[in-house]
Amino acid sequence: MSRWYAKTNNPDYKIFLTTEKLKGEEMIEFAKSPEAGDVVYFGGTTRNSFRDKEVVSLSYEAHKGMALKTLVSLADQCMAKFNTATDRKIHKIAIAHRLGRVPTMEESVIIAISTSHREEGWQSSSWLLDRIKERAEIWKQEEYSDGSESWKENEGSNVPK
Amino acid sequence: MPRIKVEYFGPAKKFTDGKSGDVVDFARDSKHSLTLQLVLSKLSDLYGIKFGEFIAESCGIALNEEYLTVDRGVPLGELGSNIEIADGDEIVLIPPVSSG
Repeated sequence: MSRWYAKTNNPDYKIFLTTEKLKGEEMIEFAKSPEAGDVVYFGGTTRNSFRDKEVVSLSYEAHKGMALKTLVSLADQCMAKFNTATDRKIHKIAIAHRLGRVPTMEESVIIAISTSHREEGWQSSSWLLDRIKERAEIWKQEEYSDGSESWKENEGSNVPK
Repeated sequence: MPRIKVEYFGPAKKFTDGKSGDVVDFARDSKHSLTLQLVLSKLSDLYGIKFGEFIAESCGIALNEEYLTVDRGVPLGELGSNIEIADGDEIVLIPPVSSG
């Protein structure tokens, strides 16, 4: 098996980890909703440099159980933050993160969110990505052209202590 | 003999020479409970005091996939002394994360 889905009964969520190449169209198609006026998509790709070193790939690992629980929790928080009892602004959320080696130009993370109007689309996708980068139990290692490697730490990393 | 599973991820593996986990057995002691402090002390024995310092300063600590609130304001050797660990428990060390 190369996809691990989050345990959730919420039909408006598609949340998984995978060692396969991520597919943007799949995530966008899932997110589309008749009540929504847009889908905002973010695809994070491997950059080819870090300071003066050439990056050839990123390699990701995760505590799958904790990371998937965290991603669902963040999707719940996103819904709660941007929706009200009478006004549903966020409709569907799709999150996928790749594990293993991700060469430059390929996606490591994709978010697709459908919203009633574009304002909450920009805001919610930015908010959700920031939270994922602070909290999801996923780690990346940069692999450089000189053969060396380096574990990274996200600037806003904020796990409970 | 209480047996605990510990998992390491990301930057924590710099201290464990790439090893991603251990199963640790503790001698049975009917007088004293097994505590997080004893587990962390064992990890420092295995991988060096700098690993213990890294855990104390930088890592979240999860017990059976739930984060513990651990008082970091105590001396290193006392970290987790009030947190009981049971046979079969699983501890995950969560260094600063880096998704995306």
